[in-house]
Amino acid sequence: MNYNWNWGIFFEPSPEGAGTYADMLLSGLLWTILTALASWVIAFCLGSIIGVMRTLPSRAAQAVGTAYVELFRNVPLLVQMFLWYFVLPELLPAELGSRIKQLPNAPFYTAVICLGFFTAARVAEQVRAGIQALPRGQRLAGTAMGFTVAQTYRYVLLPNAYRIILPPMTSEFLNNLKNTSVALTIGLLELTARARSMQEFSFQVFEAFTAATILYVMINVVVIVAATLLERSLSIPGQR
Amino acid sequence: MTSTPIPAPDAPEPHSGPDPALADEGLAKGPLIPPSKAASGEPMIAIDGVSKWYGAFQVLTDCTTRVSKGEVVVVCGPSGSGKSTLIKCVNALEPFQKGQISVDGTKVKDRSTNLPKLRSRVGMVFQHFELFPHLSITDNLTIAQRKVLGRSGEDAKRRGLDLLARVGLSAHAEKFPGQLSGGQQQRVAIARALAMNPVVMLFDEPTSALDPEMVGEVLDVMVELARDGMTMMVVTHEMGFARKVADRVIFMDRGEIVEDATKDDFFGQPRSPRAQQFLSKILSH
Repeated sequence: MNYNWNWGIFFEPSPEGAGTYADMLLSGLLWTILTALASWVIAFCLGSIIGVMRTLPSRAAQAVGTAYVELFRNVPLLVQMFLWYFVLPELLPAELGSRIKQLPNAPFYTAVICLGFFTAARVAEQVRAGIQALPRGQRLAGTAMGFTVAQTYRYVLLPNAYRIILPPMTSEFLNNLKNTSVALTIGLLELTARARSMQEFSFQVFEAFTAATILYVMINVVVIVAATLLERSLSIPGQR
Repeated sequence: MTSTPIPAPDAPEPHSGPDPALADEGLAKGPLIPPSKAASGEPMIAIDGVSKWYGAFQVLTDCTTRVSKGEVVVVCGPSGSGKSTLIKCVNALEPFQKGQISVDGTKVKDRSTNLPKLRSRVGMVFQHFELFPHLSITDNLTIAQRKVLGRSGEDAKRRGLDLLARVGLSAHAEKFPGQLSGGQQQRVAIARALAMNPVVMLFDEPTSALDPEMVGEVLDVMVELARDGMTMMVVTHEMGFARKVADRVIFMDRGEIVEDATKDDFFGQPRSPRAQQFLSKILSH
């Protein structure tokens, strides 16, 4: 293989003007983290609501929850990204559509919403599984104490369900983090996009993607350590 | 069991507010059984012609019975006979399609009935205890008092710990359910139900999930409760308990109340052949 290794490339100025290639990657990393966290907030809140709806006695609530999950998990993420970014503004009234297109950071907002809605469907399934894994008697006991449906969820079902699903939820969080890379297709300058442009400018493809890989692994390790600590702090004495 | 005696149920009780036990300074000595609308001897639970179906399958057929204030009624019968379903209908944990049930004068099947409020006045003890595993014993005893009855944390804790002492488990207040034995958990579950000042207690096979050596400690608590005058409806196979404290025994088979008799009549001369058969099987060893 005829390849000129140059690990010093990171400290050379990038063609963007200000800063080095390392700065470029780090700014990509920052956008990746920001997009992951913001979309996770949507995914967690919306996913919890949808997941709960699928376990409510009301048939209508179940139907809405099921429809949401099937819609958002059965369309590829890339297609959803395009739909939100290219198609949706065209379907809106012309003025609103063009205002959305001109938003500063439009790719970022779009990516956050798209990922949030996509991951919410997956979170919803975890929440539903967690609630359904609890003994049926727990719901009965809460109800028999005089709790309303909302109180039964708030004080009995959800605190237990979230503990059960913490490990798979960590996986969902990591998936969400890695899925931010799909947003490069709508122009979000996140870590993968930055690694790609570094490769295009400098032709140092191995260095660029080695750095990106290491950065992804590093943040994921941080997440895993945090999740382990969280799991430990939430563990209940006398269980398992 | 050598816990503090529980005061007599008919102790003078001048308050008519929603939560008389709190009005007293000495909450810990307050009455275990709050005043109800029903006078002694009047029906506390009235079950009238209740029928229930799961789809096309009928699980309850025209069940009718009364439980008077202060009465202890044991419901027995072979598994699948509908006894658990029947007592779950009493606090509307299970819906029923025909008939009516009244608890202390309040209709269970009525759109205008506030079911959470009704349920908060009916204590229920489950086969598998169903303590909330993520909460300490103290929190298990207090959460519904605070969130449903609106008691202050302090009052709820005082009442909870008092009842914990009565079931002989004061030392375990800070533990979690998973750290207790089955018998201890079930005693906590009884205390948790009592903390709400119920007018009626329902027991759904409270000793069926226990190791044999733990059955006694739970039954002791129930016997004491019965002697204190609590109105109780108990689904159980413990015929010793029935003989000791039951006023009446209801025998169910295939969703029907086959026999509804005083304890002496039931054990002495069961009328239906099905009950005779059941008794001979259950009492032969």
